[in-house]
Amino acid sequence: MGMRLTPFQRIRYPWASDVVNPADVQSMGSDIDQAFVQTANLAADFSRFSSVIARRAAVQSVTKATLTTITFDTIFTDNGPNSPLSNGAWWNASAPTRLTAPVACVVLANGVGSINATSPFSTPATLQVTVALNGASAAPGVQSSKYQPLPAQQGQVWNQVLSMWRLSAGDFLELKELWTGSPAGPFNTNTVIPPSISLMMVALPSVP
Amino acid sequence: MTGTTTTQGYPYPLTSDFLDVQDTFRLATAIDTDLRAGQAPLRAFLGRPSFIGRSTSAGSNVTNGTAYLTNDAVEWDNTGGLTAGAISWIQPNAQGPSWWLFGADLLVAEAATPTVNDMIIAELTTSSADPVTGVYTDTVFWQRNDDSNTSGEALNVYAMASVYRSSVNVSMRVAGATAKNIASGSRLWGMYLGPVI
Repeated sequence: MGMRLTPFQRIRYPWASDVVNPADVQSMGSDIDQAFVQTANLAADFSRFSSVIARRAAVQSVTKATLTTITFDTIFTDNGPNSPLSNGAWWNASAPTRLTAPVACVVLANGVGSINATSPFSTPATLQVTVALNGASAAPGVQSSKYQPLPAQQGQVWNQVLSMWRLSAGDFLELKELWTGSPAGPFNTNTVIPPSISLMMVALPSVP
Repeated sequence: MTGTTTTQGYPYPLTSDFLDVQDTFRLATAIDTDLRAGQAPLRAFLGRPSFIGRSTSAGSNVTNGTAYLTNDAVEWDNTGGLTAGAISWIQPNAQGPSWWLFGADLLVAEAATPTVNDMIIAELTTSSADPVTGVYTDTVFWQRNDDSNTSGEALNVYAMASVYRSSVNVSMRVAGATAKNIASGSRLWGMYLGPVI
């Protein structure tokens, strides 16, 4: 009869006729060793979810009534490559609008949108900020927030949305802005409170 | 007959009884059980309880009153508390009093030409039990964002709440001239933050 396995870590142990075989005890010892190594790695890595903060520091023109994808030019944090749970960057200069999931994960993403209104609003008007999945511009691939600027409001206008997503590896999120109102525009994004997105992995769909 | 280690009490065969097959079985299973227990909190953190529900069709039109978000599609749920087609997420009974972060991103569609400043309010309601008395109390979290007449509204409400044996739902309360509905693609989501200690 071959060796049996424990239910969790699948540690081999001798049984019945194999009991006197020293190699079986050696196998059991080796499996215990590896199980402790796995546990030690899990303990060292379990909390190291990756995160990223991307901003648009330079002005970007946003045309009225046009859902505009923000191109990030400043990456404050991207610890994806250093995270044993993702092992890959979220942002890449070759696709500067995107935060791409290195692995399947659940994330919390906070998008901040802003414009610098150089002429005053009158009602109706809005500043919409959207976090979009895989290039979507409409439901179901968007989660958005709208702010209605007050009549005569001028200057910096901000808005933000908090969103939660279940991503597969390779899925990407983008930050988009839209504004409408009486001014002709276009308006630039604000440089004091620039558009940004902050994202953190909060769970793994499949735990190793 | 077996010996036991001094700290963890793991059994091991004695030289006087080395051929007892049960000793290696006991040793292996004892280590296996301890590793399972030791890894449990780590795995629980990695698989943080969380859920995302989404509507896949427009809700009822309401001019003055309340409409609820229906979670037609379960985008993600490892709590077992989200059922496709249900309005509420149900907290697992086995979970102790816990802090949760909840959010709803609603898309509001107009049934006719929008009316500026029609009242639109998002209400996220937790119905939570008192751990001692079992009495349920509703807590409502609010966000108002009136109609801007810009081709549909995006309405949000977020809440950080301590809940126990709770249900959570989100609704849209409106008052004004133009009927509105919660459009397809609206979401209710939540994630466990930690125990109430």
